[in-house]
Amino acid sequence: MDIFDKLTILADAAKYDVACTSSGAHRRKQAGKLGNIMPRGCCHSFSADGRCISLLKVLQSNICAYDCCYCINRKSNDIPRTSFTPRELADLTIGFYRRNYIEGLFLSSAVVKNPNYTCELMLQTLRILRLEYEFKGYIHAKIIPGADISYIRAIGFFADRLSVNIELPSEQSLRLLAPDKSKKAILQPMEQIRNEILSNRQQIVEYQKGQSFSKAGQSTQLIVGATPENDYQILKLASAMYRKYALKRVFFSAYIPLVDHRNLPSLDTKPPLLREHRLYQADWLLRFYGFEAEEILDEQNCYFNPYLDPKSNWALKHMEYFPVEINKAPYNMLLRIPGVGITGARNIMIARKATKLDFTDLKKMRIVLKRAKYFITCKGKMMPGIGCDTKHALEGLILNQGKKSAFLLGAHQLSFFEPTSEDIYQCLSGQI
Amino acid sequence: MSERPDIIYYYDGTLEGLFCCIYESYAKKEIPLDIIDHHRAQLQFFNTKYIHTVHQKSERVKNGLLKKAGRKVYVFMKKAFLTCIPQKEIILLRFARLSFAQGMKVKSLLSHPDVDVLNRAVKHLNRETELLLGFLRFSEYGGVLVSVIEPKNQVLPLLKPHFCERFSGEAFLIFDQTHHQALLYYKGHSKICEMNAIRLPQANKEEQGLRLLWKQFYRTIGISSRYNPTCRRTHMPKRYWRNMTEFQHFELHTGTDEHNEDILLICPNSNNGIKT
Ligand code: SF4
Repeated sequence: MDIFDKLTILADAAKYDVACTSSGAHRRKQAGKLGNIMPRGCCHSFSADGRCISLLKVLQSNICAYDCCYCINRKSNDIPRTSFTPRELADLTIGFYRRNYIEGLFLSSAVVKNPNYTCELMLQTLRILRLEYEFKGYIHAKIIPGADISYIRAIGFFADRLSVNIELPSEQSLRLLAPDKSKKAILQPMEQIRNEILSNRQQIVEYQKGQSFSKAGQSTQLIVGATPENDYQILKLASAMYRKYALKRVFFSAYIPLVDHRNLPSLDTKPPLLREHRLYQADWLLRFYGFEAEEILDEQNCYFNPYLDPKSNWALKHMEYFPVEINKAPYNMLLRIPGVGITGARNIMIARKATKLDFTDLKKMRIVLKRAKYFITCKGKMMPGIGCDTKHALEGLILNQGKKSAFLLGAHQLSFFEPTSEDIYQCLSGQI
Repeated sequence: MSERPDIIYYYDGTLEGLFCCIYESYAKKEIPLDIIDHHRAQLQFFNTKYIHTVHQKSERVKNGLLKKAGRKVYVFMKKAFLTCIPQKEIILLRFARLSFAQGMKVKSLLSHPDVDVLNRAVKHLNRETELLLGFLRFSEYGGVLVSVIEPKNQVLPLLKPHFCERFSGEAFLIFDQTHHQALLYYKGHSKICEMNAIRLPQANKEEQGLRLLWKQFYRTIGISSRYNPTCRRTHMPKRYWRNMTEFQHFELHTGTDEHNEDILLICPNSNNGIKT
């Protein structure tokens, strides 16, 4: 098989993995060597589905010995099989990188023979890239659950980021759908990676030398919609992972049915893109806005409101905190106003030092007044004609974004077109 | 100080030249109606005055700005000068005057009309730079990496540090077709120079092969059940597609590489044409 067909098969098999960022590490140039890393990451293209392409995302091989029933590569599936040789993959990476097609390599693999053998193959690729070609670009490697710690360590020293995919949000689901994997086999490497990163950091501080281990930390991915877990369970799991394993990112992936199986949603199920979108919004609130998972959802309200983003949803339920005075409120309160983002809040902090702000100033500073106006005062006054009460705000917000989000994400996600404010009231009080 | 609505300054199109206009404006206690690059001069109904670029004068303005308003404001002005907004010169002159009057505070006057316009322009420039760091594509011709871009703003000075760092062991050329400038880099040396056009030879087999592989990767990686052209266009505006390998059509070239001409890159304003 030639390299063109191999690339087609092995990129196709890897494309459902969502993590494609190249952020979180920084490496300055070394004169004459190929590559550096930008701390913020960089998108080199966007695919037809609108996702960022940053890394050459491929499998080393799709010849899998396991039989996870949600996966196209499972051994019982009849598809063409192939592997890159380490040299082929290293050369391809360099060829793409020099032409500025990519930021680096995202290397994953199906389980060839057994986890250790697979890791050895991946390791060879990384060795050629890092040692022989002295490649300094970004490398994200997937750890194969069940591999020996020595492999994890070796790969971690070559890679900038490691990840272990949890995929299924609970142990029952895992047992049902991925019989060859266990929760332990997944969580153990995550723990090892965390410890390795911690001890490596100490070493670097102590001796001022040494190679760094997985500089950009580790991440994981959860599949949404293949199994019955609700949004609250998934969000709680994500927030626990951030805490326990010091993860850099948790990625969510709307399940796309590729396999017909009695334990899985039927093939005509649409991927739950709106749920995925809401999970990412909530994830931002957790990571950058100082929210706790329990503030966003709870046992009674265990699904996201389809019409409203989680922040607006929270604000509407906590009108006692509003309106907020723009010229006085502390930074973390500004962050809680719907329509005010991180940049917006920072701009307000800077600008209000120079002069007292009013609504026209806010508009110039890219505050989304359409949403924010129900929650703020400037110099003690609400915007003329706007009241600060739930009903008012609710109707305003829905008109502004309810229809839009249903529209943007495909109306087929929701069973209705034009939500009435009653529908939304129900969502708000958790009746849907 | 008198506003003189009847005079227009001509200058040589450089930042130094603009600083001399600022100097003139202070010396004559006047604010001109407009400042125009003399290369783009048209017949005027107003009085015009050509402001000669004098190094000492521009240095005085630069040092004054640094002292009065700080490095950040100075760097901001330098960037704003690279943007594509109409009448940037006269806006920058007013901004400089504002900076002399208000000092460092000038950057936090976010709602002042001139500050606002410049802020937006610089944001646009920054975004374009950021996008091009990713969207710019090289092709290899005889060991030299060559790229053609068509940015709205003059991004080459801002692209320079990144690409010189990333490809420090390579020889490359980035041609800005909009502004007829090129960034050249070879063995640790880089320069930006004027360049009118570029003629590229037929790509060799290896280059063609990699292009096809990349196009195939691009086609494969999209998930059809999530097809979302609106989202793609927001992140990657269409005007960049023209110069991106994944959207280009290539004639498959089957002949031998013998016919390839050497690339001859000539910079009219510098005496070292690079021949490869
Ligand atoms: S081990 Fe990975 S590649 Fe193999 S079937 Fe399971 S999920 Fe798919």
